[in-house]
Amino acid sequence: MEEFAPDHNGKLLLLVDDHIDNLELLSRILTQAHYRFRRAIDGVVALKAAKLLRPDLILLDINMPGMNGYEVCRQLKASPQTRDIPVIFMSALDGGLDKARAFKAGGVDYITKPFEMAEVLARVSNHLSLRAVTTQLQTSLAQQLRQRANELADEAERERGLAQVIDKIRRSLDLDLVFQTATAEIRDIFDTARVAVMQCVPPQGLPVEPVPLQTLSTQFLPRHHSGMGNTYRVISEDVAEGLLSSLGCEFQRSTFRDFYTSHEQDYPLELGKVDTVSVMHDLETRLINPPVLEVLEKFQVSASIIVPLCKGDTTWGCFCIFHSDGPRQWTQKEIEFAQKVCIQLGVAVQQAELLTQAQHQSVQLGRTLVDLNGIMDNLVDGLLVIEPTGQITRCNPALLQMFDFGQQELLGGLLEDYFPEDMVEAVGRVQSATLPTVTLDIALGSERQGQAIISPIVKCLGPSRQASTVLVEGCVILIRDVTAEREVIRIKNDFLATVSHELRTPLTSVLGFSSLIESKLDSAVIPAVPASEKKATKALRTVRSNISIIIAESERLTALINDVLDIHKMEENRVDWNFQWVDPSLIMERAIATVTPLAMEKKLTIVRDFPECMGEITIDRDRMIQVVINLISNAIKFTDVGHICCSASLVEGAFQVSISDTGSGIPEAEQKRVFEKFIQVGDILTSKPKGTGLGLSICRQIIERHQGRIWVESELGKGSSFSFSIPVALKTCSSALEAECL
Amino acid sequence: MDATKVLIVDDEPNILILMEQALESLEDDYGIELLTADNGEEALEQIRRERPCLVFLDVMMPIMSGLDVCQQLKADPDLKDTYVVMLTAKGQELDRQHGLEMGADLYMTKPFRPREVLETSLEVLNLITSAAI
Repeated sequence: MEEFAPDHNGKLLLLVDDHIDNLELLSRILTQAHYRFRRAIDGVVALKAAKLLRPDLILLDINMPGMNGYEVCRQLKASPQTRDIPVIFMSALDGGLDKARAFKAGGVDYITKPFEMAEVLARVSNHLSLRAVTTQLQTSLAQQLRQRANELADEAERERGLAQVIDKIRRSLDLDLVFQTATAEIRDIFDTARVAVMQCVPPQGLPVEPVPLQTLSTQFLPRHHSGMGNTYRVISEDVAEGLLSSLGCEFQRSTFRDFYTSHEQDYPLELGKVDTVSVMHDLETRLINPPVLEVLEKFQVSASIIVPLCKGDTTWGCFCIFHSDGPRQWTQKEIEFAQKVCIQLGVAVQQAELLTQAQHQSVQLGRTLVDLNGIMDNLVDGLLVIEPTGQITRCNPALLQMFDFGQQELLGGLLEDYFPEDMVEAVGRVQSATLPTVTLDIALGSERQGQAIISPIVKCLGPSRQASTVLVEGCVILIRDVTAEREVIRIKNDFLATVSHELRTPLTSVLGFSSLIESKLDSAVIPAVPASEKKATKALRTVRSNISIIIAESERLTALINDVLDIHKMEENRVDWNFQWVDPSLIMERAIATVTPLAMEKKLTIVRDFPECMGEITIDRDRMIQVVINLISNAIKFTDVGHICCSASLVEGAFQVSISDTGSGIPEAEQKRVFEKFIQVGDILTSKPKGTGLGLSICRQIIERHQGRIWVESELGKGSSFSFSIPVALKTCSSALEAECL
Repeated sequence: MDATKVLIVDDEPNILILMEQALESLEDDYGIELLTADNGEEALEQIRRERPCLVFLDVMMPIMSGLDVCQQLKADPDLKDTYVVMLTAKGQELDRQHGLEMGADLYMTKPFRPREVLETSLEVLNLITSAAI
């Protein structure tokens, strides 16, 4: 502020008095003090002069003809142009000076006549000084107001700038463009030398490891100074003309970090996690490691703001604002501005990464789709995909060919418009009941046979594959041309039938004629030869026994052929099963009756261990008898001494039968294999084979057809026990059944 | 229908011989005449001419199969009471079913014991005789 000094040279005063003598006197006084002045002899002149001249001070007489001093002063104060001019009233003591009126009219002071020269000068000087100070104060206030207005405008400008930058950042998903825009805009708004974006890069091709937020403050150290710390590469930069570009340069985190963190204030981020911003106002005031200083000087950095650039929770890089020509006192606003921009850049990085991922996935999906299409187009089987509505969403060339559709367009059409009703119905069943798969025979074009496998496309809603959490989104139908396959099966069956026929015809002759020979021997030849013909008698006995062997072996051969056909049919699932209600004890009795002669031959006892009447169950009666006969005759074959125990029971919805013997038993290793085809216990070479080797295999097929299981328990040397168990629906012992039992 | 005549039809000469031998005692002990035919056509002719009461009929034969013979026979009101025993190597369930559907009265599978054939014949002849009385 200007110091008070009573130097009023050149100040213009207006003197108003109706007495010319007074004016003269005042003029003299003021001239000596080097004031300039004008004079007015009445109020009207004074007002005009004041407006025109804008004096620095007015000395005003009160008692004047026409307009008195008070009125003049009031009018002066009423006009904006003259309002600020201080007025000093002058009046003779006897002139009736009314001080109160004077001040009320707007005067700043008064002087009584006759004048004291010193007093006049002092008062004039004081009021001029006072006016000067007032004016100055007013000016300064106006200036301050203007400055504040400018600041507000600046701030608004910055906010607009920020909004613009953010808008631009958000408008693009191209990260390079985002960074270019951000660096250029920020450099423009900050009016600074260099703005750069740096990214953490793996040091030696290693993946980027996220840096904990608090440890990151930025660091500039050329690579050759580095240890194994993280490297930052400048990936985008906007730099003032004439400065060295740092684009592509790499810097290491180092002791430089300590310099920053130990000296700088920490600015908590307004949003998100607390993070550290490094701010340097003046390079000159810092103690900086020489190598770091070298870098800073190379890029002419004299002040900086460095904000970590975070992608989600991890540090991705940093955003740097550098000043080059001398110190710069960064304002809090500027730092916050940089932080806000940086948050937006972080969002941009994340979005760009998501976009890249999405693009990558889309490319992969595309490739998978191409692969899938290739696979489907080249499938030999016909493929059809349908929606739950029955609309066809996919099919392959093989399918079109199979059904002779030619180039017909099936996509978008309904299943029922192109395919037979039973297939539509099966698809409906699969979709509604979430059956795993349904297999269906279907007629193809050109009299070919197809087999359709219909599977639901399911989407699991919950963690487990329960019906309630599974959503059927359609069906996949795979159709295989089984014409050739069926033909092969047919040919095989024909072949087997033929072979069986061709084998049986000669076998009929062998068995038939040997039987006839046997009976002729017994009835006609042997009785006709006298006992005295010893040689002939002996020969006849041999012939007789040989014939018996031929008959037995023919019968075994017959059984083998029958078994082979039987098991073949079962495996082909071509057996007509005849399920009917029957009492299992009847089955046991029938079977035992059939095998009793065999047991008697070997003097073995058959023990019955089942009630006379058990209630009815549904099974294939003849097949079940076949199983039990098989098991008992096996037991007889392998037992030389002791008994065969046949037990049967109906317990907990299961029909269980066990045939136990006191025979040779089966080694453990062979127990598992006895149900396989052509497996016989014992060494075939040393012990005489006693069966076809198919009996147990047939038994297993029959039991499995009844949803049951068959197993063996055996101890070598003590005997074996063959058992089976089938689940049954029990009908209690009815009177009809009882009648049959009787 | 002639209760003293039994016809055997098979294209295999050996089987014909076997059958004749198996049924020898019918001729010897019961005065029944055994006739033979080695194909379906001839069988039908003989059946129409000789009117046997019992026919042993092979299924797989040239010219006309046993099933066809059986079908025609059973379709003819005059001949439908002829007792037909199908005699075949095709022992499969389906064939058995088929044979019975064609009207066969009995089904015997090869190979068989000669005694079974004889016993069956006697049973059938007894049955027929008693029915005639």
